[in-house]
Amino acid sequence: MSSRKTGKLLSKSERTIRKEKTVSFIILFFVTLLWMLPLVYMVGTSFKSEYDLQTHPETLLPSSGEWTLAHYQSFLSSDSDARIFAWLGNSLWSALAHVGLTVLLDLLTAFVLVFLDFKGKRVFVKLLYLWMAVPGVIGTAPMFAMFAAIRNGLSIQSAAGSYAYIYFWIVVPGISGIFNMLLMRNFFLSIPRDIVDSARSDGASNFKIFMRIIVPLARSTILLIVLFTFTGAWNSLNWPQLIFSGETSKWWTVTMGLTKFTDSQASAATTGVAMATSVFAMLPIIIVFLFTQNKMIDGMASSGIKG
Amino acid sequence: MKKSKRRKNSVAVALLVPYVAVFLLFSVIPCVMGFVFSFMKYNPIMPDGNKFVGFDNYETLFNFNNTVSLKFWKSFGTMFLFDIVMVPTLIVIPLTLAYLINLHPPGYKFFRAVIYLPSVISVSVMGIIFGSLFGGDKFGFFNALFGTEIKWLSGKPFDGDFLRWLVIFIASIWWQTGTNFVILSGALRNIPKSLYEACEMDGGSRWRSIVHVTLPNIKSSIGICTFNTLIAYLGLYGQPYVLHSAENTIDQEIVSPMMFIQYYLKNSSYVNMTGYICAAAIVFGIIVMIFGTVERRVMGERKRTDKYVTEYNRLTADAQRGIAVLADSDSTTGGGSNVE
Repeated sequence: MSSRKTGKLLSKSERTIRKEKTVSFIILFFVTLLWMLPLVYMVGTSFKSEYDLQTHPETLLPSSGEWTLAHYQSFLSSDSDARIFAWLGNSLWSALAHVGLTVLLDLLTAFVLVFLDFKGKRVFVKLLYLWMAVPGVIGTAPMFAMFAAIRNGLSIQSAAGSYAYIYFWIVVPGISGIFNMLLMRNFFLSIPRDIVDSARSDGASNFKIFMRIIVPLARSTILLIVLFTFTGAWNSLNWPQLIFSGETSKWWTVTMGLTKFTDSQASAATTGVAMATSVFAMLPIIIVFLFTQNKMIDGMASSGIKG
Repeated sequence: MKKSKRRKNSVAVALLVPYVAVFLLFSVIPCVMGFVFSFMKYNPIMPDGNKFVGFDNYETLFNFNNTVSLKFWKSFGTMFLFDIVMVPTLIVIPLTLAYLINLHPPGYKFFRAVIYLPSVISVSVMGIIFGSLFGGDKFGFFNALFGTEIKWLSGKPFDGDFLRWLVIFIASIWWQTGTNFVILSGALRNIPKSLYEACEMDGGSRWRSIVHVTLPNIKSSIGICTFNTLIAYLGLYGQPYVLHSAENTIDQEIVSPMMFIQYYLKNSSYVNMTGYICAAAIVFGIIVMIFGTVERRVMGERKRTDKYVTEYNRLTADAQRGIAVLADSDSTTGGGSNVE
């Protein structure tokens, strides 16, 4: 009696599950098509010839026989307005430096906050939580004033010096972000204390515990912080716009540089180059995305629960 | 013993120094300075004329006859109207998509990747794509498609022209659905299956299980997503900056407080207004804080610190109750595991 009941229930729920899967497949299929449209349009337009851009702006892909690499050649060969390689280089190294420093500081600080004792620890953590509510916009203007004042004070003459100074202000200010550090701390709190205590009673130093136990365990949280801070640094626009005002465009980051195309009126004449440059600028991120997206998405998904 | 404790103490403090130093230098001190500057007539380039002026900057800011202050409040209103529509949309659409993904139809990993993909694209690339899709002349994709010449990106939002906000709205959905979508689908996946089974055993319909099992169990994740999205869209900047027409006047460009602040900071001819801008930033910051606090109160997470613990306890308690229900109804499926 009881087993028959279960069997019937299962088959019924199996049937509904199959039906639901079909419905969700159909909806998601169309949503995905819609989601890909802008990207297909971008890639397609970047290969369109000037003639095709003028006569057929309404197609996603170039007409047959009209595929061309002209727009790619134009910004790769000449030193045109779009200094894509310089921008990409600037963005890549500064974002990586930012990410590296952030992860290092977060690991170190969270380790101290969870596994070491010092006076005023609770107060410190409480203060950080409180400070998280203070919007950063309050500090923007004074920070910009600080940037300018210290620059005048140091009276930097050489181009290399200015570049280094500017990128110090691009890379460093955000690395003490509270959210990421507390994310790491929350993860460390979930590590059983026994592991650390037994390692300590075996005579392991703090450094050893940190390197051999904590860091390997924190891999997924590290990946998550890398993801957050990298996309944040790559996309940041406000602060670079302030800092780079009046500087040579060779020094810009890629996000800042590409706004050149949105500043002016979009027209058939510039669309091709704008799209080709965008495709090129997206390549590094897309490559990283293709290789890590599964892990990345899973890591982010679990962050909704953990913090 | 006491000595070793003191040593431990000093090691911990020494390791904290880098973080605290950066934090103080680039977070705390600028904010304190901003507070001080807001009571000053401040010019960072010519410091000779700097002096304390009391509440003058705030008075100017709240004086609606002042053209600049009027710009600030108008920009605030525009941004706020947009947010009222945008923030709920960026919860509902990702939640719906997350629910569908969680039914695990064939190819769901591919769908998931494509929906998330735009989130890693930079805002200026997004602007180039949508600026061209909605180009204002006959070479724009949609204009060419429909044979029209609609000036999608011109004009002032909500002031005779609502099309530009529509474009920003569509572009934002495309660009930013991903993050909330992924967080919410993770939350959905972590609801113990046994809860659904228990609901089904009790004869609950699909709709009832959504209302009584799904939504209560992802409440905290919805809270986090709402909070993040709200804060991000109160600081709206990138989207209106890249999605615009070159014909737009300054008045039409400044559509959010962040754009207002950025515009007056970037332009060196307004450098003597730094004190005033600091006051504007503080007023705007306080409003953002109020919104954040209200959101957290409403979503019932006054204590961020203990949220994870309570959430975990509640989840495990629910799971245990689910198992108990299953055991009562003489089932062979021993639930409790939420891993697929």
